[in-house]
Amino acid sequence: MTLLQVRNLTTQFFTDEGVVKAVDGATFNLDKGKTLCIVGESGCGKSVMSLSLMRLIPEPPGRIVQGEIMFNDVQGERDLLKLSNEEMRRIRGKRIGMIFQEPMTSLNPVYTIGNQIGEAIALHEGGSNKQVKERTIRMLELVGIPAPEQRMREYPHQLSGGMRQRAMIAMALSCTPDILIADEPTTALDVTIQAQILDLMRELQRELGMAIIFVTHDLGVVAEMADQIAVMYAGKFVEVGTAQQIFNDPKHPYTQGLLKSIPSFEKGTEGKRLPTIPGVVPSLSNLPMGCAFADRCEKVKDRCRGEAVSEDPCNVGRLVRCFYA
Amino acid sequence: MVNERQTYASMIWRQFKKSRLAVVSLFVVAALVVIALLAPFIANERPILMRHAGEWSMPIFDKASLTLSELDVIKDSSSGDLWFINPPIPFGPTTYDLDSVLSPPTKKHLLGTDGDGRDIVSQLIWGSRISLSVGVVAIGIAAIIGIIFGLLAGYFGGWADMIISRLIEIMTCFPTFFLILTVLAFVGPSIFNIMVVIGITGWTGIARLVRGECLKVRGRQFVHAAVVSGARDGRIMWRHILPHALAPVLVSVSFGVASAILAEAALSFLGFGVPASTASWGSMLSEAQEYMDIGWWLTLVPGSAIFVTIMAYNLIGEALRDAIDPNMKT
Repeated sequence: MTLLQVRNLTTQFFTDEGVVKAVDGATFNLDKGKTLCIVGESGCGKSVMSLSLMRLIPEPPGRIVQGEIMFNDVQGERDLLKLSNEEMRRIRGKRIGMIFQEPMTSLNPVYTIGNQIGEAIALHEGGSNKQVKERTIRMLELVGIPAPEQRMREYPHQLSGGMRQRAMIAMALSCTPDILIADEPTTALDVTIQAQILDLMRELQRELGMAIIFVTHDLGVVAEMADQIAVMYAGKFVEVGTAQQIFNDPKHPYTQGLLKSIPSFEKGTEGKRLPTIPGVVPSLSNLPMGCAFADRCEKVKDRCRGEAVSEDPCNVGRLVRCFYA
Repeated sequence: MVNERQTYASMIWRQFKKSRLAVVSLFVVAALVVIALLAPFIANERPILMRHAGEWSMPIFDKASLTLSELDVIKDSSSGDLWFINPPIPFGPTTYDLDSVLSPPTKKHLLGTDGDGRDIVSQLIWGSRISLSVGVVAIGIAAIIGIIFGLLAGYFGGWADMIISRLIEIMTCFPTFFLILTVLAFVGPSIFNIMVVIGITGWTGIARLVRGECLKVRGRQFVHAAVVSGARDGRIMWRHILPHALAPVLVSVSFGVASAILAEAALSFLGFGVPASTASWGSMLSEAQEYMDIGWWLTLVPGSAIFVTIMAYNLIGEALRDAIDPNMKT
């Protein structure tokens, strides 16, 4: 079942330096219980993308200029961009949860974690203090925090980074949302904790049947999590496909470059330099007319610079934004 | 790991305690509050508890009952069924002891009397009610206005911020004291008016503080986390942002109370304060002017009271400011 259908989502920031096209015509589907990974370098528009889905773009300077986000749950299908602020508020936290990169700063230092998770529950589900407390304890148990009845009375600074991210996940999942948007949730954690959190998310996904939109720049994480992958470059999706398609048969030169730059332990790579993609992401306020990746691409030809690239010019059968895929 | 429940408040308190002067000041203020609350029991011209003709009564709450001096007269003539407890200071603020006008400190009048024979200690005690209530209520009003405007400006930004910030700037341009004088000249001096006027002219500092704090906290991720969990604007401002601004507001409030007390004293001194029949530290000073050359106690006593009170509030404010300053942590 398709839970979320995003069509031509375009978010722009109107700054003194000009219009920044942070997300430019993003289109994708998200199925129930599946994971979509959005991958890309820093500054390619990933986070703006996830904030746009929640309608949390600071306005001004930002604005979602066009597109639609069709959200299909038990209450039927509706366009999130057409809802009133109050209707949208009821969806946040209840139907769509979100967790952030920095577990250190995502919890309010003046309240206990039990208090904060309880707030999210009370906000959407109501219930007596006792019910809220019981549910808070259940959530903390669910995310694998030991001795939840004591932990819930502790303040964020008394918890480790991994524990805090678990508490954040408990908060985001406290109302069993249909979609969890995770914006680089493991980037600030060390690798062992990272693995634990990823395991936890997969386990919770199976248990609660939610869909996950996972925003990251870490292809290792993507390999572990993704059903679908969308590769983002300079505000546009350049390649979309299943995890298998992207990892086994990458078509876009940018995707190929990204995969090549993962360190590997295969024979023949010892002592060699890790391949990188030369250059940097172009400024989003001053994008070239043709392919934004042209300046960094090995296969670049004249056509790439002069002509806008459509979604699938080579008829691959999925979105591959390249003339020479 | 020792599981120490250490809240922000307990951290501040620990830091605050390091300043001995501030702790002493806290006791001074606490004592003043107790004195102000219990003023009718401490200094009164009527007995606290009385038994007369088999009936118990508390004359301090009954303005129509006999005063101590009248009772003294009756006591000698009555049959003996009269028993009462005197308050520690057996004079009200408006008891005219015409036998000892302008008396220097004596055993009877511990700090002397004024030109009308009113006891200075009693006036001082009753005057503390005016000073403290003006200080607390006026700054209470200022804090409420300041917090609301500050939160609105800092949280919503844009137009709200523009309008409120300009309003703050306009308000700070006025010389506050003369504004208060002018307003009181129109609405008439009363303790209520004084509180309100000091309150609505004194909110700008707090508003600016809250606005700044709000801007600082607004971009922190836990505010985003509250938004994505579906909290309303009001809830985010009140529950998630305001607690972070509370400590600096508290500092500002304790300085504010001091300056409000001073403002009230100055207004009363100029005759724009409380009505003449009500004892206040400022009006005591004002009346003392006439006898400056012969009655030193008349100026020294209320002057010292104002000084000590304001000093105490300022010291508390300063210690609080140091306690919440993260750079001062040792």
